[in-house]
Amino acid sequence: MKNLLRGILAVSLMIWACSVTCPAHAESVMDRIEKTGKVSMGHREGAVPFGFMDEKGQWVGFDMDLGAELAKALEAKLGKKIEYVKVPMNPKNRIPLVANGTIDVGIGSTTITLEREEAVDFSLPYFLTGTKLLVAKGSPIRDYRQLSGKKVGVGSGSTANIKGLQKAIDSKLIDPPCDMVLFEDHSKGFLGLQQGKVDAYFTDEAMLAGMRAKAQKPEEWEIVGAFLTYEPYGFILPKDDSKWRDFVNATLIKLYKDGSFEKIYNKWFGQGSQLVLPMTEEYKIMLKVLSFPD
Amino acid sequence: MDWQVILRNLEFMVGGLALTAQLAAIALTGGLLWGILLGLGRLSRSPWIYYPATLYVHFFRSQPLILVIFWFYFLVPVITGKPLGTFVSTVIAFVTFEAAYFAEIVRAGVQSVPKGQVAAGYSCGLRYHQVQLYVILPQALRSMLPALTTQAVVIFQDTSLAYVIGLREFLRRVNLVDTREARSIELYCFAAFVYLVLCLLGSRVAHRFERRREVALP
Amino acid sequence: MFHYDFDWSVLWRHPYGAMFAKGVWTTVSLSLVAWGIALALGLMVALCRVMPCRPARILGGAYVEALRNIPLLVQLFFWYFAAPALLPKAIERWLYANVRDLPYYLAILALGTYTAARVAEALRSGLLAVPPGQLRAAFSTGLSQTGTYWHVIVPYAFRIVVPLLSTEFLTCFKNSSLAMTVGVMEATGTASYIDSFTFHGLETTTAASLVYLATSASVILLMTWIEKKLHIPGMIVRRD
Repeated sequence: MKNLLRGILAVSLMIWACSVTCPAHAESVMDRIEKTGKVSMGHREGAVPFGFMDEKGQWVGFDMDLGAELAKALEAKLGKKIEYVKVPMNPKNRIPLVANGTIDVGIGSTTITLEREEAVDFSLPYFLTGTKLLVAKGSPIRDYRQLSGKKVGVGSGSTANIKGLQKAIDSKLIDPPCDMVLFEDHSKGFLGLQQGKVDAYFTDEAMLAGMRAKAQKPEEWEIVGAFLTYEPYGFILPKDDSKWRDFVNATLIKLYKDGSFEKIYNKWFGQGSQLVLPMTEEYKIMLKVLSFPD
Repeated sequence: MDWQVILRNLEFMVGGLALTAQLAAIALTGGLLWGILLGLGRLSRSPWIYYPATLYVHFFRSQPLILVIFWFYFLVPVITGKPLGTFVSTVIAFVTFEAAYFAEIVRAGVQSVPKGQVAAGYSCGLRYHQVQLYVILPQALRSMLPALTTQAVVIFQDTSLAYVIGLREFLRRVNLVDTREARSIELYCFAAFVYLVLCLLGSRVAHRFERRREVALP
Repeated sequence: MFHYDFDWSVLWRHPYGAMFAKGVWTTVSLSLVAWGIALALGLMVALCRVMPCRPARILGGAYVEALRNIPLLVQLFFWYFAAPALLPKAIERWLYANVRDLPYYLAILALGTYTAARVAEALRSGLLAVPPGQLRAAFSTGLSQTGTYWHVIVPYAFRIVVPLLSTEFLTCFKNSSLAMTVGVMEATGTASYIDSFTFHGLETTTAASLVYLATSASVILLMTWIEKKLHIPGMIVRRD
């Protein structure tokens, strides 16, 4: 028994030592995908229409369609079947999940910020929106000034939003300051707004429009205020892997140029979809600028 | 009140119970096997085995499960450079964590076997491992059974914590439905009811073992 | 080897240092207040369960069975998402508008009532461990039923249950980490919050782990000392 135990201990130590010292990140994600035939992408679960559970419990959305395009491009490039593994991610864990390699790419309405660039890399922007407020219809809150002394909900991982609101407080735009209430995810924040836990919810307009569209009575909610900040979204990519990043960017540019991006956009944001959010002029220009020639 | 919301989403939510059960089953078997080794390690006379096993058990018993799950999901891949995926890392976290509790149950069980039994085993001409396997283990296991079944119920409840990293088990699905339907009262009452019924069934089994043991060991 | 630039300064540099300290303090205060509720409520439930009065026994038993067999996370979600909505609309509105740290208080209630069920079980096993002779002796000296419980049974049983209670306290302390799921910024939640700003989760999570480890170690040492002080002559002391 004693020898048996000793043997097991030695073996576990060896496994541990081996797993610690094995070289990490030596190969590009591209090579790994080719070897394993699998690509794992992180998506949001509660962000209509980017990534959410529909009534049938299916996980769908704008981001998923882009992910499917990326998987298709991978299959074409590598010439083999690639399995598309979807992993749930939220604003709080999305950066760590890419940094530690659990997901190869995070497609989930993530604003490109210089601070995040230090920990991960980003693709070219694929979406452009700005921050606004969601309030109950008829609420006295019309703009940021009226937030003073009120409770405002923010996603606890939406650091860009938290910093934007903090800046508005520091610059005395909201004076006396408002009370920031943190929620794990925007969908829980909207639940909090419906239950009266907060007076307003602050985040990107595209998110707010999705939250409103998902409500049982969308006409009871309205989006108010001007853009406080601009939020360009990008895919989150592992740091210093230019082979993989170039491939993702090339795929995006191709989608911009051949019109399939617009088709996917209109499927989720165009006329007849559950929330209508026409592309702004700035957004259109951004896509045009990014349509690099071959 | 709108109890229809449960019927509407029943299939989706109950689908999560399969994952809950799977997770509980793997955590239970894995935790028990690893826990038996650790528990025996805690009884070892060799300091090379005793101290690491003791340290392990004390360390993990001092940590909240939620933090252990975070470690294996977010941080261990950073250290090893090998991402494990949501399900696998949750399973590893559960086995690692629950084993520390099983180890103490096993230790108490083995210690409850009277010393005379060992002496009797040796005097019958049995060898060390035979004494362990045929004399101590069966008796120890029997006295451990109630504690083991209680721990199994605890593990079943613990699986709800996989919620924090987005694994779509039962509670996560209830939560997802709630964010869509905004029917908190009905949905959480339903979740509580399901767990209550399943865990009560488990507790009943534990009680039965307890009674049977009383008969077997007067 | 792995590429990771350690930066331990996230634990003390502005504003994260203050955040982390506040997180640890929240964990401590949350679990201590919840523990107070658990002790008081648990004692009441345990007494109910050993009372000669049948309805009280049934009520106490139902409380313990229900709260022990529903995961704490479900109970916490119930308190946070559903319980306020059960109140009249006006009170619900008032609560949301005027109570600043509502999730914190709801988490205390959830943790306190849940731990109470576990404490009640520990206390009951202590009460049952009191030899019946003590009870008869107390009655024969002319003490009333309440007097018997208060002066004889409770002090006696309390010493038996001190080790059990110290385990339950540590469980309560660890369980307080679940409060992060409803937005309470306690130690674990703060560790992951700072991570989302600095991307230095390895350092913050290590620090959180050490907080739990240090607390457990000191509580165990303290309780071993108390157990020795309180031990009843003639009874076996736990040795580890």
